[in-house]
Amino acid sequence: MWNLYLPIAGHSVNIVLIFGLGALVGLLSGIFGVGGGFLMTPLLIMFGIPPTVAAASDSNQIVGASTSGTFAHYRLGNVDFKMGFLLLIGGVAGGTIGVEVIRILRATGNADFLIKVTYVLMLGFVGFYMFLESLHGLKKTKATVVVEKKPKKESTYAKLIGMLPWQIYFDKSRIKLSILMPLVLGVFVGILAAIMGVGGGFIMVPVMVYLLRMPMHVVVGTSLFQILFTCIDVTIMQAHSNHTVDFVLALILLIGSSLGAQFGTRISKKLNGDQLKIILASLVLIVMVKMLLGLLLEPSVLLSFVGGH
Amino acid sequence: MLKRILMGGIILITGLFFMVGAVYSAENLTFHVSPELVAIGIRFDGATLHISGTIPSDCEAIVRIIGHNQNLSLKKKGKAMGLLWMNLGKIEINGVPDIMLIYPSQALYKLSENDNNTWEKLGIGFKSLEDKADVLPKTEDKSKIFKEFIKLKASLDLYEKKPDNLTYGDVSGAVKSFKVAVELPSNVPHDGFNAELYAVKDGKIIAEAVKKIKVKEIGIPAQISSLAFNHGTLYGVIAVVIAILAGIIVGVVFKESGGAH
Repeated sequence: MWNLYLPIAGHSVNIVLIFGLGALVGLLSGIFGVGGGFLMTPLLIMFGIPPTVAAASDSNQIVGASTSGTFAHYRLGNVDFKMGFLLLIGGVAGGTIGVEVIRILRATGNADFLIKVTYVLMLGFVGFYMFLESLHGLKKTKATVVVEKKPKKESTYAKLIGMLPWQIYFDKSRIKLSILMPLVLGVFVGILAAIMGVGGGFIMVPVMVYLLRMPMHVVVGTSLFQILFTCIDVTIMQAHSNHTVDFVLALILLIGSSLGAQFGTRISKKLNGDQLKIILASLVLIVMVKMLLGLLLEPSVLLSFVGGH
Repeated sequence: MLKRILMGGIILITGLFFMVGAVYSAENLTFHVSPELVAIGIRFDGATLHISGTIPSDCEAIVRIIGHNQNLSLKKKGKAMGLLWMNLGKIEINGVPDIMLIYPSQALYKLSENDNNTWEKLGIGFKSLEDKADVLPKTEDKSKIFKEFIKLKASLDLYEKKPDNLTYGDVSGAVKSFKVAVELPSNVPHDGFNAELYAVKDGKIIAEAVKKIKVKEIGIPAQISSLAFNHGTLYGVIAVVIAILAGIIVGVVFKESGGAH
């Protein structure tokens, strides 16, 4: 009764199920500022959507979800547009380099192996680091609230980035940084995102928190803003070159995810930075373990269609 | 004289034999498929083809749905460094139908369970497909790759063998009726397929009939497909604009409802 035929995917789906998937991923997107591509695409493939269509339609729905999320965070004053634009410029350059890298790797025949291993290592490293760091932060907050005001000794990393040229002040993030930092880090994330075939939110968020030292709530809004532009680009490119964007699928997903993102933003406001980080870290670790198991256990079918991640 | 009578006898018996064959293929085989056009609208969730007809009463029936041949490029998974399951290169499988559903009678299915070569002898099963198909590179273990290919197609409901769906009805004189409900999945190929009927006797096909079935998108799916495939960039821009508008609308709606709290 609730089925709907998707013309590009060439498959019928249950509307309620797809709407629910969208809402769940949108919720996470609103809370953490990650696009959710690394969760949504595998889930859609699990429900029989061809991998190429799943990835491209997911980009289309992320456009909707991140618009809604960016809008909500903008109202709360959580979007650093200056930083977002610089990261975006770097990200586009990095994405172009990444696509070339993957083309060369594919020619040597080692691409898939390297992509998966990079995935597991990145997720594992980011997940463990964030988890331990925020756990430490939570303990510290509980134990010594009074000592917080004590001026911290400047780290070597802070000294190093302070020495870089073209320092400017970012009002929203309340930090002074060299213009080179977001540009170079944007390139780095762009390369990784293109290689892994995802929006890059789950790499961008830790980069903003730990390397750019932005406050967590500004990180989320700014990350969504940057993801919005990345996914607009991907959607149009995929529709033009591969005809893999299923608009009907994306529409159902985005109604679910836009609603989910709104609730997510409200939840995000109620949690403190360390709580947010520890939940995101756990999520990243779960995905990492799932991928690791996928690498270690024998698959039920030893062939698959070309396309997808 | 005796020689002539003997020759005449042989000619008569041979003639009768061919006549019987002609009777089998021309008169005792009827075949109806409904509908002959599968229309894919916005609520399409697969379709049921009702196939019925008659075969000689001493034969067994097989109904087969077979699509157009395609050449596929697939990723092959294997163990890298003896530990990790990865895509380890590409495989090409050429000359395989996009859909193949086989509905044998129960008696035939049981026979094939006891004799592994039944389908190979008939030449219409998955085994015969393997013999005709090309697997590249040639160095691959064709039989192993083909087994995995059938599993992959079966996971999409596109390759199946269903023994319980075909049933027989009344026997009237030299013929008996049969019917089968063929369940087509929602991902049925859009370029149509053939519905085939085979009458089998003593492990051999003695008569067959074919009907072409068309598949066509109608209404909204047809319009969306046309825009996506003929004007890709415009389609992409429209998809993005609607996604942004939907995001803003949800944002505004929530702002208003949020203000009421």
